[in-house]
Amino acid sequence: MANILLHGWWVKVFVALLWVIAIAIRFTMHDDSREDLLFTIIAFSNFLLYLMVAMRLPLLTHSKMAILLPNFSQKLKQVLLVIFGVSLLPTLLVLPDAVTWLAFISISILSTLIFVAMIYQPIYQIFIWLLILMPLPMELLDISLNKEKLFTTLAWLLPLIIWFSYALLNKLVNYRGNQKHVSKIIATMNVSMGKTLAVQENIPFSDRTKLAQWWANSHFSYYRKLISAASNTSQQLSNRKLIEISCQSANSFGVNAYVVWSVGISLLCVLGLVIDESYHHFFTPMVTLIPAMIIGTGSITLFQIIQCKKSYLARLTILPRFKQHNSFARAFLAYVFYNQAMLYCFIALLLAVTARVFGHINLTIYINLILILLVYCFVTISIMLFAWRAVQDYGNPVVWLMLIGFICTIVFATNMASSGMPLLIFDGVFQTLLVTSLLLITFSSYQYLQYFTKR
Amino acid sequence: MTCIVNVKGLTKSYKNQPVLKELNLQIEQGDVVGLLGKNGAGKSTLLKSLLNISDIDSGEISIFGEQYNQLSSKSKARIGYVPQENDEISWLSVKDLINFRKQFYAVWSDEKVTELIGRWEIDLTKKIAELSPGQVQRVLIILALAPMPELLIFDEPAASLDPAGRRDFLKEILALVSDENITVIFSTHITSDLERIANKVAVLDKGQICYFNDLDITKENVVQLTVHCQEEQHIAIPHLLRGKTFSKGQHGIVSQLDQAWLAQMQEQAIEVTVTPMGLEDIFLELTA
Repeated sequence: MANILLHGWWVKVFVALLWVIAIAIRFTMHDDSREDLLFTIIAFSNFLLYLMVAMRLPLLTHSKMAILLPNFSQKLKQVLLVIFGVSLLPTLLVLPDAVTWLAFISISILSTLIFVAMIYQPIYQIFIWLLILMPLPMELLDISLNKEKLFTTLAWLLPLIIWFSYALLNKLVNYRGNQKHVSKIIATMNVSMGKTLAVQENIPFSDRTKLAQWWANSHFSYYRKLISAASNTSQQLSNRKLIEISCQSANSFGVNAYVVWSVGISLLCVLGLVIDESYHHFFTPMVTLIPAMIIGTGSITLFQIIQCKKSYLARLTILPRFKQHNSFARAFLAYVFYNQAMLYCFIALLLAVTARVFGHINLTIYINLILILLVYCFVTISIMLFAWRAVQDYGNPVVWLMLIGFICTIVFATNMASSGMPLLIFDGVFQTLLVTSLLLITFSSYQYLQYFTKR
Repeated sequence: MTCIVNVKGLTKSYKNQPVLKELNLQIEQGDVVGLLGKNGAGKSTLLKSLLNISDIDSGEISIFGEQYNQLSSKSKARIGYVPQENDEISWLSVKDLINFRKQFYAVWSDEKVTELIGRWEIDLTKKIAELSPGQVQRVLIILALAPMPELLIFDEPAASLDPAGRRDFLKEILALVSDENITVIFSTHITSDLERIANKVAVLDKGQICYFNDLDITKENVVQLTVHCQEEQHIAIPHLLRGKTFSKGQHGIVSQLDQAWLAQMQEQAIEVTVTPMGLEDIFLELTA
């Protein structure tokens, strides 16, 4: 059971590495200067571990056989307790400060509860947003809670938290509810990283939530209208449009997504304009997180959907309208560039608006951010084009590469924003990076065209 | 005989559409019951309901004398189940899956696992996702047989198997059921499979078990009759499922052959021809 819950080397190695770093920091720490860093590393490594276990749990609890396996619940409970117990070992590094140690245990238990709740009931994802926005109501209500106070409270609350979480654990190991949502999690957990979104296409329409049904319907309605408009006016759809229609799925980042995100950001900006400027910094995590989420989903979704539609697109290439030399490859490249250009223009606009309202970034940082994103965009498109023309399935490594690249970009951007770096366009290293990424995208586009010429 | 499975008034519906209606069924120790039914008749629903995999609306189910939704670990260990659709973790290798399942059982036949893995040429290192549907079905059968269960429930066990695999699987079940303690319930569309191993047949139609009897008795009883009369006359045939009249006679299919009625016909010098029917025809007639 533990093998299933802790399956996969990447995360395990990463968590172990963080633990080693925490140990190294602890034994080379002579004063309190690096205490916060130590706490952050321990908390982050454990959160990763809990998230991994929480995501795999439905594979066991909601398996059909779970109900028939003797002593299944007891065994699962034992395994979960052992994993949790092991995860507490690095927290020993905060000793001899017993209060902090007890507080760490409380935080670990509470984070486990939140992660598991989020996986089984998506409504609990609200906890994350509440945590992000928590400082604002605390400031408004004039509640001052420093680290010491918080840790002491959490340490004293530990017995209550243990009692509560043990009761929930007993429920969890026998829980079989919310089948529709959990089946989606299971489908995602049952495939490799390269197919996590695509596999959700197989979920029957009637099994989706009302919101998801409406979302998919309204998304496809836009394209249905395009098709009927074209047939009514007897004006042929362009090759690019035809490919765009063929590449749509229920999870595509389409007009719906742009509208919903625009409305969300507009509301946030209205709130930012209404409230006092001194509270604006509380919104910084949220307005930073939203563009990151949009880029992540917008580019990875496009990759996964096209990757899964490779054979369908291959059938399209034999249509008479694509008989002209390279017409399919050119139209396909046009679609991909158009799609990504739209996405990054939207992000640029979103960043400009939020920067204007919340003032969390100045013009120099804004231009630098756009430049960094441009490089990221060129690199990801190049990687995607490489994977799409490859005979072998590179879906898994490409998604990992995109994710790692994305995290590195975010870390670099955040560091750049806080360090007040000058304009990157005049930086020699960045110029080299930009030129390299440009060459890379030109080369991979050329290769993609060549690939179709050879066929 | 001990009653292994007892179902009383089982009712189950999906989205207000009744699937099982006040269904009753008693299965005794040593029975090998073939569950027949059309597509969508509710065979899988019935089997899943027995095992508490699917919730029921009302009714009582007991297995080994215990309530179906409160089975003890001891009773669970006595049940082997092969589902119609595989929901095992696809990234586990066959070996890992076997090891995972083994840890739950006090009794586990490694010999049987090794023998069947070898005979069915299953690569232990392959992941479940890399196996063909037929191979996955075989792995599921091995997992069900390894804990030496006393009650085996198969939901369309041979659906994904090739003819050789089906024959091998049936041979395995025949060897198992030679032990009188083992009770088997299996749903199928393939009547020839059922004829080979089942000693009882249950027909599920319109949400109820419309027919449940010994296979041999079924074959003896459900027959086609042809009544030849001297002149045009209508004769009432008992237990008639379906009948057709022709000049100076009648064709009919009965669910039970009434010997007293046959004797009466002989006395009246009315010739009655009895033609046995195959199980497939019997099933079609019973569910027509």
